[in-house]
Order: sequence, then C-alpha cells, then structure tokens
Amino acid sequence: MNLRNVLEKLYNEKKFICPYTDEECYEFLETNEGQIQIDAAMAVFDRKLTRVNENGAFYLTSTAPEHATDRLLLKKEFLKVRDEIEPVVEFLVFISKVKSDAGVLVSGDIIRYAEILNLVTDNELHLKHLNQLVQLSAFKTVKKSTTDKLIALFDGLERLNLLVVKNRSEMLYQITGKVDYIHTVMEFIAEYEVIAVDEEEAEQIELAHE
Amino acid sequence: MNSLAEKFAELGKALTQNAEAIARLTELNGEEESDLGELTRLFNTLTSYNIIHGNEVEGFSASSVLVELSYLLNKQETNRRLSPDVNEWLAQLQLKISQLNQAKESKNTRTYGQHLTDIRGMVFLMRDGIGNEVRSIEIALHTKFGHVESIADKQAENKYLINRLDRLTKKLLVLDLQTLNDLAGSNPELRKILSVKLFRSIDDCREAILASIPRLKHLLWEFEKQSKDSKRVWAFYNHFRTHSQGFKYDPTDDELTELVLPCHTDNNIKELAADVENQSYFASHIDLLNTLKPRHELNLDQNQESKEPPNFEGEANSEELIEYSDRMEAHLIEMLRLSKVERVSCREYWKLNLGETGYPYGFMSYAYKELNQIKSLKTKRKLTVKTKKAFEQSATVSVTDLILEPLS
Repeated sequence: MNLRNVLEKLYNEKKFICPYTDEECYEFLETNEGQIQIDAAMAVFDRKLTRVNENGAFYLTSTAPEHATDRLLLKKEFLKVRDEIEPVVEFLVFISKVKSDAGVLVSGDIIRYAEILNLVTDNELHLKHLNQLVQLSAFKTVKKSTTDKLIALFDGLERLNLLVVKNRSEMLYQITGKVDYIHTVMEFIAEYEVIAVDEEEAEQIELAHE
Repeated sequence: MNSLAEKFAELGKALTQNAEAIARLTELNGEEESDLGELTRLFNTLTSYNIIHGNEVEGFSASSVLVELSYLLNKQETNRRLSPDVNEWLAQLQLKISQLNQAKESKNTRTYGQHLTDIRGMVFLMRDGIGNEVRSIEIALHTKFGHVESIADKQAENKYLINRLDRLTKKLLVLDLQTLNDLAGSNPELRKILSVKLFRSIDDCREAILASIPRLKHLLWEFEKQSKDSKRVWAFYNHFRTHSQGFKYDPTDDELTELVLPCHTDNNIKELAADVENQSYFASHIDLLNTLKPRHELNLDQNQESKEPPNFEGEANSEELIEYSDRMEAHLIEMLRLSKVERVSCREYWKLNLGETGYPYGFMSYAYKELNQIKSLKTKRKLTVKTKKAFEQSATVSVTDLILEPLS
C-alpha cells in the first residue's frame, strides 16, 4: 500500500475511508502497522487516525483540540455536518418510504437508481416527496423531469460522500460509512436539542415541559 | 433386497400414491382431518410406521416427521433441524445401553445388533443435530439474519439464538468425556461410538458455539444500534417538519472534543506538495489545472520590464504586484525574468533549481497554459515548444520542453 496515497486521501481529500469507498485502503488502515504509520506521519500536523464508533470508517482527528486553530476547525466541522443532517435524514426517510422493505438504510446497503425511479414514477406521493427534496440546497436542481431530479438527488449525496458509485453504467450506489458518523452527530444533537428518539423519551420530555 | 430396503420401497409407493392427501395433512400442521378424499390401500403403510397418525373414524393427522419433511421439501428452515433435548436423549440412551447389556448377557445376538443400531441412530441424530446448530449459527452470522426482514424480527431471532446457545452449551457440558466413558463401560463398540465419535462432535460444537456467542452478541448490539438510529432518523424527520428554525445548540469546546469530529485542515495553510515528477499523475494534474480559476494575467511590462537585467537575482519575490499564490507561479515568473537576458529551458531550469531530473509535466503544462495567455509575450520573448508523439502512430503529442528566449 502506498502510504502517500493513503495520507493524501485522509489529509488532502478529507475522506472517510470505509470498506465501501476504498477497500484496499481500509484494509491497510485496519492493520496495526498501517495505523502506526499514519499516526507517525500525521503527528507533525497534530493529527491522528480515528474511527467512527471505534469500528467504522477511518478519518483524521486532532491530537491538539485545545489549540486555537484546531478548536476553530472543529467548530467549523460541527457546523458543516450539522447542515448535512437535514438532507441526509430527508433522503433516508424518502428511500424508506419509497422502498418500504429497505427500512432506514445503513452503511453498505446497495441502492439501484432504476429501481427507485420505477417506484417513484408509479406513485404520486413519492413524486411530491422528491419535489420537496430537490428544494433543499444540497440537491437543488432546475431540471423538470423525475429522472433528472432523482439524478440530482443521487449526485448531491455523492458530493456529501454519503453514496459511492459501485457501477456507473448500471447506476448502482452504496451507502458509505460516513452515515455512521452522521448518526453519531445526530445522537449528540438529539441529546442537546431535546429531540425525543423513542416513545419513552418523548414522554419524559413532555413531562419535563409540563 | 434387504428388509429395510423393501420397507423404503413400500414407503415410497405409499407416498407417491397418496401425495395429495399427505400434502393436505402437512398443511394442517398436526390438526386432524377425516375427509382426505380417495385413499389407496398403501395409505395404511403410512399409519403403520406412524408417519401419519389416526384412523378413518377419528380422522388423520401428520406426524412431526412428516411436517418436518414437508418443511425440507419447501426449502424452508432447512437448517432448523436442531439437536434433541440432551437430558431426554441421555435417558433414552441409558435405557438402550441397559437393554444392549441385557441382550449381551443373554447372548441374544439379534437383539444386541438391533439395540446397537438404535444407539448408532441416536448418536447420529445428536451429532447431526449439533452439526446443524453450528451451521445454522454460521449462516445467521454470515447473512446477519438475512432470512428475516425487519430489524425488530432480527433482534428477536438473535436474542432467541443467544439464549438457545447459552442453554445448549450448558446442556452439552453434561455430555463430558467422563459421562460418555461411564455410559460406554468396557464395550469397545460403544466406546468408539460415544467416547470417540460423539465426544469429538460435541467438543467441536462446544468450541464453535463459544466462539459464536460473542459474535452474536455483537450482532445484537448492531441490530439495537440500527434500530435506535432508525428511530432517530424518523425523530429528526418529524423535528424538521415541526421546527423551522433548525438547531440552536452551540456546543462547548469540551463537548466538541468529546465528539471526536474530523479535523480537516484548510489546505492553503498546510498542504502536501503535489508529486509533479510522477508521470502517472500527469493526466490528473492537467485535469486539476484546467479546473482552476483563471489567475491574474502576468504582466511583463509592470512586473518584469521595469527591472534592469543585471539586477534580477533574487528580486522577483519583492515585487508587490505579483502574488505568488503557489510554487509553480513563482517558478514561472523566475523563468520569465531570466529569459529576458538568456535562453531558458523549462526542463533545464527545473533540473538546476530543484535538483530534480525527469519531465516536470505538471509544471510544463501549467507554464504552457499561462504563457499562452500572456498577450504581450510574443513581442518580448520567443517561445519554443518541444513536443513528442505519445507513441508512433499517435496524433496526441505531449510537451517535453518549453524554451524561452529574449527576442534579438
């Protein structure tokens, strides 16, 4: 494995590396040797390798979060990911409504554009939902056709690094490990913004407000 | 043909001739039914072997063997043939062994042989059952309970399997080597069946189960997390529908640190230099450069021509009007400066100033693009572009050198 390539992906391209985005790189990072090499190379930049939920996608984080520059960068990252939550949530709910047997998608799940297009085209409610989705800045498009709107949606998710193309000609996509990172941030936000995730919590929040 | 083979043949005929009635009975899952339509004489064979229970007056019902067989034929739950209850199996085995020993004492070879066959059958059932248990776990782990659709069902199946395996492991502990040796006594045939074959299977199964339980527990954790994540997505979806203001909470530095967010450095502050020497990146560099926004046009009159040729050394960096936004731009300006008084080869410049051999493809393509945009260049310098074909019959040429010379 070319260490330079891995470093460029992590540091320059700011990537989350999971088995679905880059299997070879991910396997290298899973090894002890790989982690030691990356940490050693990144130490000079005050960065270290870390993982989502300790077993998910790899990314770089700061070893000196107390420093003003990194503190600012972390803040910026929080604001950035916070803005990404709405389009991601809207998309996950959209797919779960369109393809009810899929449930809420998780990392590694495969989505076929053609299948979603068929399901959306056949249903007025789904079309309406898609129209709402393309109003979001992440998926904004001026195109009128359902095909183009759906493409704009998938392209937007690719830009957010939430989807990765597995087969361009067949328009086969896969959910990346970044979705787990989004869930981690959502968990944090849910706690502080007091968003009830299950019924018990909802009841507790209602009681607290009474 | 031996008697068992004949019995199988007779059973086969009975099954063939009464297939419709049997299928109907298996669908009833053990419920009794008296109206099965026309039955053949061989239907009695099925009742005599207890494959079908009952009679014409009270009605017929399918036995568990028949129901299980129908599951197998429907290719459903093929891996669910589980091991028998250990305590019950052990009690039956003890009974069979005492009968075997009695037959041995009374020197009744025929009965002895029959009991030994029964014991072999029981051991086979147990080995087959525990083998299926292990295969079933492996399939569940490998497919992440792919045969079940909803997360809630997956969680339920997973919990059930963990409990079942926990109980099974405890039960299998009963069948330790000492117990099996005691059961076999001094009978060499029983020792071979119980102490060697069965014990080996039990031991392998126990190891596989013990290794699987943590994996199952981890999978259960994953399902629970997935379920929670799914609920959270819906909660946020509802939140976005009812709250238009978005999120307001401003996390403290400690909270941000605890969240272990990715820390992405702005690339203009700290960056890894592009590997311009690597020819395999050449195409990428060209693509990258083509996507860059146009820079300020280099103005030879303002930046360069005002300087006297002998005072050129090291002065370019002090020119306020020139913004050195990157390394390549600085080198190009330096080349232009030198070319006012002498012939400058891009390749030679690269070699002399950066001590690097080979083609600086990235730099040359950048320089070529920039120089072509300097309108006043033609009146100030002579630019020679050296190219070579990518290969013999190719129409594509690549730039191998750029030479800047002062116009004489």
